[in-house]
Amino acid sequence: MDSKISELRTWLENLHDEPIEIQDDTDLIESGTVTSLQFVQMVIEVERIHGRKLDPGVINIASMRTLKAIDATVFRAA
Amino acid sequence: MGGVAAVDPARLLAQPYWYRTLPTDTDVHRLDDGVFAMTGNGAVQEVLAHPHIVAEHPLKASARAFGPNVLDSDGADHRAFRALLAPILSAGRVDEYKRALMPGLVEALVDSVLDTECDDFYDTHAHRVPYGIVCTILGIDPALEDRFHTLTRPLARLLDYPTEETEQTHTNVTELLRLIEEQRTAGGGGERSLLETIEQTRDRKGISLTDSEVRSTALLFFLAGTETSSAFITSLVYCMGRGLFGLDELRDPAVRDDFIEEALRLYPPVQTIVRFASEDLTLGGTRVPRHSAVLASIAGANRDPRVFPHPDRFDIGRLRKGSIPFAVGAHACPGALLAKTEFSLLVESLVERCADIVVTHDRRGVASQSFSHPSDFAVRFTAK
Repeated sequence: MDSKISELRTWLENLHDEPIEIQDDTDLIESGTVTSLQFVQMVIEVERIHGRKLDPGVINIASMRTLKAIDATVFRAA
Repeated sequence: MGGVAAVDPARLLAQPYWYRTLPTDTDVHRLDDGVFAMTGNGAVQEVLAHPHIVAEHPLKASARAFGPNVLDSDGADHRAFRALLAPILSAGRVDEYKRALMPGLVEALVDSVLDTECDDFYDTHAHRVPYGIVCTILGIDPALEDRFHTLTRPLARLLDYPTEETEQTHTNVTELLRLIEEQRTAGGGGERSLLETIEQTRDRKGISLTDSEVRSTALLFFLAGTETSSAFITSLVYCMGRGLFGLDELRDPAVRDDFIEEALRLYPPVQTIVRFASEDLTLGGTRVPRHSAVLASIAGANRDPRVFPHPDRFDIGRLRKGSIPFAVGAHACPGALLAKTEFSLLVESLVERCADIVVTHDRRGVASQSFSHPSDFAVRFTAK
């Protein structure tokens, strides 16, 4: 998990004025880490960090709900 | 290149007339990475009809809450969902509702407000007619009407901007879907109810939708049909009470139609629509990357001074061309005829039975982007 997830974590942290802690398994929506609109913006950020377009099938709630899920389904996927 | 706003999108959308805060030298505004806003009439209409600007986004709150549904789909899937609703919203059916269903509901509402003054018309009265109509159309036991209202109003926030997504909204969706399934199984609405019609249409046309998708479609029909109309009925009463037009003149059906159309232009219940770029685009010279959210301001389009001179003025004589209260394109509201029929009957009854309607207190508040209506006002209805 590494640099790509760290970069995404930093992007998420920067959405907030106050410091927040985001664990690998923090539910990004339920925890209030992102708003509904920011959840959509996050897809663009994930693509930018990943360096390539996401397969449309990957853009779903299960794949994007936590940093751990994003790492497994996007950054570490073949 | 569009202007860059100094506020974040959530704060911007919390303002009722957010489009007014953006630069006026462009119709395309980059608000943030991946968030754009369209404010002019032409730009908004272009976005709503653009083949590569879509409604579907799997991470959108409503898509996550309701699953595949009519609001959050495009192309063939969207057409299939709409085909399910078409029979129930046909001109013939609306005429039947106008004769057999709506008058009793409208008269009951007018009975309840005559010789009263209220400061919570939206919460207390505005939903009565639309909930009565849509419960009947859906085939819901009338005894459950208040229960549906209690559950539905909070979950409307899932479709609003900024979106409010809470445990309660999700609980309410689950409970409403359960109630809809219970009512469908009971079959109390008869073979012409929405739930039966949807299933018959699906089977007759060979539309491939699951039972779950059918129930979600019914729930969204319910939400859209009740909450948008509740909001606009509040706006209508507000316009009548502000003395913008003599009540007696509204007895003329043509004048009444013009009055309603002008109120719809100024107070469209859906003020903001969010879409998504399905590929990299250029809009008005501004690059819009794939996946970006695009906020289309119906309120801004309907008050564009290039299309409507003195746009904030209530003027029933103006040309309607360009007014898009029910949106345009593939997702234009399929219930527009039903809604307008309901509004016209209500205005007709109010002018027949009221000597005066007066807004007695007005803080000029406006609530919501998706179910917008004047708030913080009191209105008095004086019987003839």
